[in-house]
Amino acid sequence: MDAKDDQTLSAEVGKRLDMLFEDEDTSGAGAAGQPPDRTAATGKRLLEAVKADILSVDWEITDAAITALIERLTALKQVCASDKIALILIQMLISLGRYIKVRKSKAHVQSMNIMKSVFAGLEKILAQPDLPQDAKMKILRVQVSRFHDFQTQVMPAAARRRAKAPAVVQRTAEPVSPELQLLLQNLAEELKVVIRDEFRRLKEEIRSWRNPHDGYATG
Amino acid sequence: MAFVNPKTREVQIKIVYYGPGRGGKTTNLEYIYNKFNHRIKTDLVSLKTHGDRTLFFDFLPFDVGKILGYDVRVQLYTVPGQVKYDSTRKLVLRGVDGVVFVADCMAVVRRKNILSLKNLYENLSDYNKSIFKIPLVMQYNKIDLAEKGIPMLSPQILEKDLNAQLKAPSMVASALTGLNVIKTMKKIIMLTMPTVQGQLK
Ligand SMILES: Nc1nc2c(ncn2[C@@H]2O[C@H](COP(=O)(O)OP(=O)(O)OP(=O)(O)O)[C@@H](O)[C@H]2O)c(=O)[nH]1
Ligand SMILES: [Mg+2]
Repeated sequence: MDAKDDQTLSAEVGKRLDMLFEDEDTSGAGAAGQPPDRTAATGKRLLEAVKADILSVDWEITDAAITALIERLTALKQVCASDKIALILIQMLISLGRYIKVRKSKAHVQSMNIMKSVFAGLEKILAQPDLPQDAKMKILRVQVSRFHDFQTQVMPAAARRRAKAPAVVQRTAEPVSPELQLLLQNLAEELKVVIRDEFRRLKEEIRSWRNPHDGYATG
Repeated sequence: MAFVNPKTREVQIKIVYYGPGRGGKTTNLEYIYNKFNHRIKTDLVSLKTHGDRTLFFDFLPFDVGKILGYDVRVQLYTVPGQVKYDSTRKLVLRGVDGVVFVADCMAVVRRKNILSLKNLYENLSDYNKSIFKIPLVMQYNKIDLAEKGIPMLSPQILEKDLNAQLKAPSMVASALTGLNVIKTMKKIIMLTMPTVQGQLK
């Protein structure tokens, strides 16, 4: 490639980066820093969109539909950053979404019902900002206990872990560089060592709680 | 060396955030992720100990888009800064295209910055790479602490300690507030462009 292409690549990458990461100067002012009316409007719009996404996933579980749903929920999470109860419900929906994404049509038949139920709870809370806190808590408790029952009964342990962690394994369809592959291979071995290490330190910590006088200083 | 796959027409640019433990490497990636995940649409993968220390590495990939017929993807990694994780650090450096050295501005860690930079030099040498030649950006992090009356290393001291010979582009930053976090990232990616370009044939 000649010098002209050289400039094109550099300039083009620069342009894309600017687009992707614009408004860097508003550092600190994330979604939470927006004026409240705009946040509320955004929240409402997102909530509508999430509802539509859930319906489309309910209709057919495709990768695109479920990915869109998870992305929208992630955006909603930012808008609702100050509402702890809403956040928990959204996180539950994301976990469910990730589970369904992994299992696809093999997902438990109840998954979509649980998802719709959690969403209904979320909708109730977001639609009535002046709902008293204990009413909100009640909604949350109902949904959480349903979610937990579902989780312990139907989600196999492995999928539960996967559903929680935004891990590389979800993305195996995408090409992985040799470097990353090597890293992942080495991970298992190193994990063993580090986990042993972590356990040892945890044990030490616990021991030092029990016997506060066996401090490091006296050795 | 950037990973170029001529068959699938993909380019992967690997950036590693290096530096002393608790210097703010992970916080850099978290800021980018928290602020822009709705746009970059990828996940941040982090493995931490119970004390919030990086265990292996953090990993944040994102697509820049199709350019000259290639899908360009950037991968941001952090290394674990704690001294004992040197083998992991070395591993993460494999195939690196550009390094951000995140130094800690707090006066108490002056020596740790220097030792970490020395460690970077050694680990790069093991891959036959020179710290003088590899694209490198110096980030002097936690500058926000100056306002809190915490004893700090001035940028001049940091330049003298870390950058007198390297003469890499440098900037103060606060990974916590986001000051210069994006600027650092853009700078290091742009610095890798000539090498990446050299590989696209
Ligand atoms: N005040 C302030 N604190 C920061 C800044 N950047 C990071 N921190 C804090 O410093 C601590 C360590 O930050 P990390 O990002 O975990 O550091 P790290 O370099 O990834 O550490 P290791 O993973 O152990 O190598 C955390 O408590 C951060 O919140 C900053 O710019 N300003
Ligand atoms: Mg870290």
